[in-house]
Amino acid sequence: MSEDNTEHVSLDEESKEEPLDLNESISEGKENEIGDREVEQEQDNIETPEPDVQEEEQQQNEDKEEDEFDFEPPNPDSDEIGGSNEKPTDVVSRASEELNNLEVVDDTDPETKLGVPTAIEDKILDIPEQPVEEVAPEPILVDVASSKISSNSNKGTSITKDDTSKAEDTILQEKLTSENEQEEVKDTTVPREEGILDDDVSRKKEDEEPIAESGENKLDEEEKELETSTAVLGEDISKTFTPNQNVQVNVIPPPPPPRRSFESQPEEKVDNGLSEKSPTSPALPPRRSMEKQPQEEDEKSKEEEEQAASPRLPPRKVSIERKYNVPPPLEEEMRSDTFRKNLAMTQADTKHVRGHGRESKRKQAVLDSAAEINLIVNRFRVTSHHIEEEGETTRENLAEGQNLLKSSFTTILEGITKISEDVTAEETPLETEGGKEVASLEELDEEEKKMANVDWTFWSKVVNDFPTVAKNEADKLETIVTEGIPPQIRGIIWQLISNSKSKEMEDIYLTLLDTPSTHDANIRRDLKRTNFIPSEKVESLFNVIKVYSVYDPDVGYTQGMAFIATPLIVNTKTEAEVFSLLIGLMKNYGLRDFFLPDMPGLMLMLYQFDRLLEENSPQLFNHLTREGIRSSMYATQWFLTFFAYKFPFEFVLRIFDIVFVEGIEAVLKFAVVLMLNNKEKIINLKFDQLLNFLKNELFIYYLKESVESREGGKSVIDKTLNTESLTAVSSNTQLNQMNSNEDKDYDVDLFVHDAMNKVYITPISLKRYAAEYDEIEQLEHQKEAQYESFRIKNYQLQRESKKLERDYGILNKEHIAIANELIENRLKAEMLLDENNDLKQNLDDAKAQLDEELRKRDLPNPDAALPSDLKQDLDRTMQRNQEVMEENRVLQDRIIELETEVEELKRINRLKASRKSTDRQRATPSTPTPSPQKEPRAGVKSPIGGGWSGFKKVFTK
Amino acid sequence: MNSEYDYLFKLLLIGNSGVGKSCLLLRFSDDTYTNDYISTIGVDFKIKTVELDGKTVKLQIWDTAGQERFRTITSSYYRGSHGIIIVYDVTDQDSFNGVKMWLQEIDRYATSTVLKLLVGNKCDLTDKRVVEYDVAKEFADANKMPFLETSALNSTNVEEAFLTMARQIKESMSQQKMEDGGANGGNKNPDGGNNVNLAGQSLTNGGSSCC
Repeated sequence: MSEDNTEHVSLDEESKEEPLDLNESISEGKENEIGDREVEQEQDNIETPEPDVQEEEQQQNEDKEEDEFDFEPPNPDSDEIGGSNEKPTDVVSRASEELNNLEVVDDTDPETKLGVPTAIEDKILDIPEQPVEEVAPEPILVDVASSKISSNSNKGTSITKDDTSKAEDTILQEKLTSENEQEEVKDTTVPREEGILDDDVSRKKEDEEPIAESGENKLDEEEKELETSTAVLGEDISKTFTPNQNVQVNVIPPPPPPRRSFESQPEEKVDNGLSEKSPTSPALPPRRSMEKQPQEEDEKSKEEEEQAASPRLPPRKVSIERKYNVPPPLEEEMRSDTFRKNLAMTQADTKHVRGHGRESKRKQAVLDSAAEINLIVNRFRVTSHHIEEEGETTRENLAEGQNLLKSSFTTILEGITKISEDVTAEETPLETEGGKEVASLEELDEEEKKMANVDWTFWSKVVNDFPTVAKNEADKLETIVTEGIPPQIRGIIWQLISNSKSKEMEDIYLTLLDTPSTHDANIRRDLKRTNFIPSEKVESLFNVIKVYSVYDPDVGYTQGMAFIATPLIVNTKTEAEVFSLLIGLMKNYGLRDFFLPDMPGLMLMLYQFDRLLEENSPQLFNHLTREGIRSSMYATQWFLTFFAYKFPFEFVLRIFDIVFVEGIEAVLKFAVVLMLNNKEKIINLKFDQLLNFLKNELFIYYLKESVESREGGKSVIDKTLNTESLTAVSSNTQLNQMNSNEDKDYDVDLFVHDAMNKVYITPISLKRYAAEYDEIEQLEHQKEAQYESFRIKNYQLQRESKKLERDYGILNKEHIAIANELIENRLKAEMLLDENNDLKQNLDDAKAQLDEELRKRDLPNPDAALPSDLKQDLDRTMQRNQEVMEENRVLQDRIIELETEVEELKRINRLKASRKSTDRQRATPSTPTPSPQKEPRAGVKSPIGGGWSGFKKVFTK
Repeated sequence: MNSEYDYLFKLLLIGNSGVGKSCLLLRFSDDTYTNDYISTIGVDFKIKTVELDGKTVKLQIWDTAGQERFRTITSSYYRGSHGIIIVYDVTDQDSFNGVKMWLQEIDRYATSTVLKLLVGNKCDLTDKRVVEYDVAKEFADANKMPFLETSALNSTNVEEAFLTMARQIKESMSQQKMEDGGANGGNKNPDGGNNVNLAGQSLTNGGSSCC
């Protein structure tokens, strides 16, 4: 005990200096585990007077360290060293640690606190034991460290550097000496750096106590588990920091030098992995400076020094390797800008929180981290944010409204308890687990049974202190809401949780009630044609929706609002309350984004739904994608109406229960679970049937008949399902009737339980999807803008081209006219040419004639005259011929005369001859003489012939 | 699936909220009528197979929410449609005035070859009629689309409306096929082609005259 006490003291003194290292080294994951202890420690610290906030933080860190090293013996030196080295972990990491601590607080393990010193404050007692153990083993080191620290404090930053260098040297020495030991202790799985750290630690532990090792190992394991199990935040942190190592270093009491070496290693890691996250401060403040950033810088400088002083290459490499030990998906995540952005955001949040008082800081931090993984907490946080943003009077009004609700709850509660007093008396206290007890209450009818099972005390707690419940009993709240909010108090709970009731809103409602809306006609028409709404509520529904459309003109009226408002109306007393609730859902829960003109909220949720579906069942998602089914085809109506569009009303009320507690995102759970449960069917359907099935038959899965048959045997289910679906397909109206009339035939409880237990949705993953969606949306917008601009451009070009075409047409016509003209002209020219040629010819002829004439005239050519004489010749010849003919005839006539004369003569002659002959004969023969006479006659004749020939001769001449 | 029909046409029903798109579709697909049909949220979808000139035509009909802000969701259905039926309510002048806006939407989101049909629904409410047939007919002619007045209540012209649309699509498809098989590039620049032809004609005329 005495040792412990002294150790504590030393811790307190030195802890301020050292805590930074611890902080740095501690990973968030570790912090979470350690959290419980840490929280207690922190509280202790707060109670104890501390000079500086830093000191407090340091102490906290120390505490954490101590917690981690519960098993190790306390090392005063280590504490001192830690103080001197103080390297504040990133603000974020701290904040996260705190958060974790807070969360874990309840869980604090008494076992871990082995050597708890009694002397220290009660609270501290639990935690301090560890530090004491650690410190105890190496007091010498402590002295060294303290001296260093003192020097540091005096000299400032420069001194601190020196110290660090010294520390480094010592560390190196230690390492060298301890190598053998380290090897023994090394964890084979852990990368080199870790191994080294482990070795150091183990060595120290070995020196001091063997238990420390085991404790460390456990811690490491725990850390690993945390890393893997905790949400993305945890992962990030783990990646960036190697908390175990750091912690170990800090805890490991051995001389300051080893510690520094460890520190340097973590720093390196930080540089490699977290450089983006950690803010670098330009100036090196004193180690003890309140700011963590400066501490970081110190660390860096130390690192540098170390590197310069002694070649520390191996550790660096190790650190890199370490990076790769992290599961690959995380690695990838770290690479994505959006992820880093998210991380930076959360860090910024926590930083901001830090500025406030410690308590609120821590609370906020816890809330933040819890909100990352729990929808309820997230919902609560957002709601309270909204309230904080409101003005003073609004808040007062809201508080007043809350009080009113509370009082009405108590009256209702009193009524209920009176009625069911007998029942409750028999029952064990409260608890929804009453399911077992129900058996004993068989005599009661179903409703009474339900009533009896209601955990009224818890509900009172919810009513009276919802913030606490949301923060600390989120799980319980979830279970109880999953069972359904009792109908009697449903409206009250809704209003309480959403913090909607406010006189202000109700006044607004009353003033706007008479204001006509531009949407009046549309609203009326939609209400008129909808059988979903109970007829006696139609007027109230109209009023509420109309007033909303007046109140929020940007949204106005969107089809689907009636489906949201109807469950509200059924569960509240006045229209004003409904209006307030509606406003709450719209503004506070983000439903407004669903009903804005471009429906950004809906589009986002559709995207988130796609991603969740893909994550939960890639097969299903792919099938739908292949079939060309988009979530917007069927899920739009789910999300816009919280399933009220076609689902049985009892389903809807239960969905509303969850929505009010967990936020609109909870609708995704129902959507996803419905899809998953119907997966087998969906996968076997083709496009045509798919849409119908998705829209109208998904909930048949929860028909009591089909649920029972599922339990009975699978084959039966299919049959019933098939028949069900067939009838459903056959007519929509039938189905609608079924929906409205057969609420009780559905196993709503099973549905809600499935949704709540089979599908896990964390706000952080939704946020990630949202970020993705934003990116996609931005791209889409860009594309659209581009498309739009192209379209406009195209339009302009088209117009231009039309104009050009017109111009071209005109020009073309002109061209044609001109061409025609040209051709005509050419033709004319051609003709003219021809004419010209003719004329030329004529001219030539004329000329030639002229020349001829001229020549004839000039020299009368005999040749030329001949022809002209010819006629005359001919005439003359003819005339002559005539003459000759005449002559000839005359001659012939003469011939004839002559011939006749000749004949005459001949006869006479003969006569004479005969007489002579007779005479002669008588005298002498003188006959021959007559013959010659005859010849002359012949001769005469010939002269006639000669006459012809002579004529001929003449003629030819 | 493919053997079950010769053609698959995708039709889209648009028009102001409450003009009776869903009722038209319900009448056509199921031949029923209900007075309290819930306003469509997002899109709805029905399939009906009809015989057309001896061919089996499968009509895939998308029914959209009429409220303008659902455009974010409905606009994506324009592109794949072969035919778009614009519905207005003959008893509601606004819905007829809105047709112009819907035509713009078509210009904006649909392909340029999409076929249109104007339908004036609720023609059974003769005493409440505010949009005269001639006015609508003129408008339809000016926009080069067929026009029908229907009543989902007494099923006047409902079948005809969808069949008109289907026939139109079928014709344009076979036409397109022919064009695709025939002259190439005929569609590209009809005006330019005419001009060229004109020029050619005039020139040849000149030539012939020359001869």
